[in-house]
Amino acid sequence: MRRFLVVRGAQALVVIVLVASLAFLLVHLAPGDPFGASLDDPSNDATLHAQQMHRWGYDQPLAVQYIKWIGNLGRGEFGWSHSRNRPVWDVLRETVPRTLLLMGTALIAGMLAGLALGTWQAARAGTIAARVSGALSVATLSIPEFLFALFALAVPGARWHWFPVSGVVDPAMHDSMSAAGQALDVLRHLVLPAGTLALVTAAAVCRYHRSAMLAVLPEDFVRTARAKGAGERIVVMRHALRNALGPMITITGLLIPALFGGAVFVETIFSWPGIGRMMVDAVTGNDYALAMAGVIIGTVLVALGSALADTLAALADPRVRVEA
Amino acid sequence: MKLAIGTLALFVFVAFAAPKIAPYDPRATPQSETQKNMPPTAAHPFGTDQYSRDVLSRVMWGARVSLGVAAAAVLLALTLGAAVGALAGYRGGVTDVILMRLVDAFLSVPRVLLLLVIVASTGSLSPAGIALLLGFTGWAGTSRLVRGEVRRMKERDFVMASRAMGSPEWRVFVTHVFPGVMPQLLVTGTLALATVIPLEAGLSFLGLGIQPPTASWGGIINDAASHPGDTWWVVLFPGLAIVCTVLSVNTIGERLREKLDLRERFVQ
Repeated sequence: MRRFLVVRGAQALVVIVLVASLAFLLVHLAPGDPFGASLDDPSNDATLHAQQMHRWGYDQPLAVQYIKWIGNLGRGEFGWSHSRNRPVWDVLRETVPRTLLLMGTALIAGMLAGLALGTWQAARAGTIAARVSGALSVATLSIPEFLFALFALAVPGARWHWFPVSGVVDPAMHDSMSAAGQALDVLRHLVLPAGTLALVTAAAVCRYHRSAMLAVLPEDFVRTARAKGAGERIVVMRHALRNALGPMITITGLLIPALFGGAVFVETIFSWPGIGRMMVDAVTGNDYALAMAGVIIGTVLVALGSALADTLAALADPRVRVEA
Repeated sequence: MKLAIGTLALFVFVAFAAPKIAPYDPRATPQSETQKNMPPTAAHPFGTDQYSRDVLSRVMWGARVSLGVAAAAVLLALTLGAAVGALAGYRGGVTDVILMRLVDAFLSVPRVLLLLVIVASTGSLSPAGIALLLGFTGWAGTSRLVRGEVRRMKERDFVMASRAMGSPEWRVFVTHVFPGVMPQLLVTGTLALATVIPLEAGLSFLGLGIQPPTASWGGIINDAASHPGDTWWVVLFPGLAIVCTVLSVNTIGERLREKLDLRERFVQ
């Protein structure tokens, strides 16, 4: 197990360094610079532009900038956010927990719903209800998250006023609430954005879990359980479900990158101030440092998630070996 | 399956014929307060947007841009992915290790974040730029699949035989190894379309993809993004176009996979 963890950790580290370098190269090789938009209007002259480029070190050779930047990253120094006029690290400290809350809620709710639905679809395979629900979950996967989010914003949000559609807390009342009231306030704000992401997650989980269950159900040990007279419920829940769960752990790890993509749209539509919204703001504000930090944090979280998933999968099934 | 092919064919036809069949100019903004944000009527079956433009015409022209960009992006991604995968699988050794680590890195960045960071430094892009961007960020999954196929093909008897008979390496590759990879590429390409179309739509929806006033499906929706419930027709019709296309492409891709008997694999 220790060797597994070391190898898996080293792999994750290599990936993170590669991604950081890749992001740096892409950003710096692409045309444009951080002061292009704000300083290129006719009222400013070229010297001011050059001064700013010099002041922030953007005029140094690429290799020098890269080494400085990677060195700073290694010390946890993400640089200065020009658009927000504060250290990138401070911005991250606020946005990361909010995105984790959003994605974590969506992942747990989506997993539970998807597993339940997938198990049911497999156990009732062939019936009309199961086929309709199977087709619906495939159709759900063909609908982009931002369309679901817009629908949730328009109908249960704006039309019916069931849940708040913007922000993490109620801006006027939150501070005067009791602790329980504050928690409830955050939960109410979570429903629509996390629900949107959970729906898409559930559809993906359901599809993979259904095929996993269908692969397990004809196995010998399931037949043995039936032959010994176990009820259908016990057969499905205890014998088949447990054995189909192993691969789901790995799938969960693979869902995280897609969840990040969804979070960008959901956070923008519901004004949820997390990493996704921060990235969109960074792009519109030409804020290199913030945008690169967002990509790196995203990658670190994905790498951590997949390393965790692999570790859990190895614990659950000793036949799994790390591919070094 | 027939329905899926029919739907896709319809959209492709609309994309090609948009200049001929669109009832209005997609950019025409008659300066009349009375024609702003009109719900669907006989004259404007899909209604008009906040600039009093005809939504039906914009959806038709949008098909041109959205499908064109997606097709170009997928072609680029497949070519790159096939090249990298073939090189890694065929050469093996150090080349393989280096390329596959690069692929790992690419696959573990959330693609939307990667797209955003690149747009952050390039600024607004032309449709061709968006296609390049989507192509260059989409090859990694394909290359891993192609590498696997190539490695399997390489060990087959007929490849060995061809090599033993003295064929040059490139000919062995082109005539014997690569054709075996084609079915996999076809399926991957179809399914890649189903991820690229929503990605372009999403970027354009955020205002970071196809720039106005050029019509793209995501861009049309962006025009009503702040109050989607008030002018539902500006969201619903382009939204339906996206969903129908993606659903058809997904259906066709899945059926192709079954027909060609390829194992289901989880591709990002």
